Amino acid sequence: MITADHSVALPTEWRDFLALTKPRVMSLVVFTGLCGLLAAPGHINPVIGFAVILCIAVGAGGAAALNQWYESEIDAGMKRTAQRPIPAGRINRTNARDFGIALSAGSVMIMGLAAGWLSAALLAISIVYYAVVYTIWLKPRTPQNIVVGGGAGAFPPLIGWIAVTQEVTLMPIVLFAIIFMWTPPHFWALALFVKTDYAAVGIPMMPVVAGETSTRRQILIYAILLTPVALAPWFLGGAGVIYGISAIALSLAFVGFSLPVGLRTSAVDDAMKPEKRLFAFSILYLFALFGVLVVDRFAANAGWIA
Amino acid sequence: MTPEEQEKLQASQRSRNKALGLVLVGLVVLFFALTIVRFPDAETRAAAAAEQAK
Repeated sequence: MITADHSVALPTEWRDFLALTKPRVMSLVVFTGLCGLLAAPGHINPVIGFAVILCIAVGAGGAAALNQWYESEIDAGMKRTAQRPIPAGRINRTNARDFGIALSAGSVMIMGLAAGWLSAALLAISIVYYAVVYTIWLKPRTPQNIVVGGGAGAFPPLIGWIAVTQEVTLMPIVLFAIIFMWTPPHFWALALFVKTDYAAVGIPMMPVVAGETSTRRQILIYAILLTPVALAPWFLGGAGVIYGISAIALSLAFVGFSLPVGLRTSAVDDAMKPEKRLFAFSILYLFALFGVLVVDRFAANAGWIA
Repeated sequence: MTPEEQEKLQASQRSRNKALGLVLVGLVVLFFALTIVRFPDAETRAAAAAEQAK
């Protein structure tokens, strides 16, 4: 009797390689990177600008591939991630790792040639930060992992800005700080209503480790701390009145959405409406805040405002 | 390997090669455009020549 499997293993499809780069996360990375680039004072050649955004996106894709290479066993144990290309068996681990390294190294190289080695160094730091410091080192070790991971997502606008100005100033660091403070309330709101099985695979997510009450309190604290950071570009003179007024309105709304989340406790079979609303608004908040930063710069360049 | 499997394998290889080809063409275009854009203008070249002459 023949029991061996004679079916042929198909070569990995390009779609699986694309999935490895987490294209949906990339859209936020591209948007904030582009806003950093457009909001920076000075001019950049459109071709170089395009190359910068492309390199930020490809670098983020490489880091995402390395993340999935390292976490393939963890992903296999969770329903939400079990269908990713590696745990589903559509791509082998070594190929995923090499793909991630190639994208990362390639994006840093092209960034250096196109926009200078300061931007390239920052891109390299952000990739190593996400793939090594966050994924390998801190994510499995501390419930503050989301705070740490937020740092990785905060790099794109900083890189975009510095690609234009070619120097590290306070404004790009403030943009970094905005996303850094925004990530915990954004992600923990999601973690509260999506009951993922992080506990089963040993990742210490905040609601699992510290409990719901503590997570809710921390969401509120970060939302309040985010407000002065979001207003900092206006105070520092890096952005004008259009940004300032919008940032006040958006931040007040953000704290407003966080208040019910921070102060209530969920019942059994709770619909988690306030948490879902906060999560949805947090995405709108970031897009609007960065969008308005660019509008403010364009208005200033056009001479509409002082 | 049955003929159907053979065909499936080849179709998958073809689509992968096509995707890789597009990426390579894209890189060629990007490098060409970057070379044009970053090529120093007359002023910069004159300054560099003056520097070298010193």
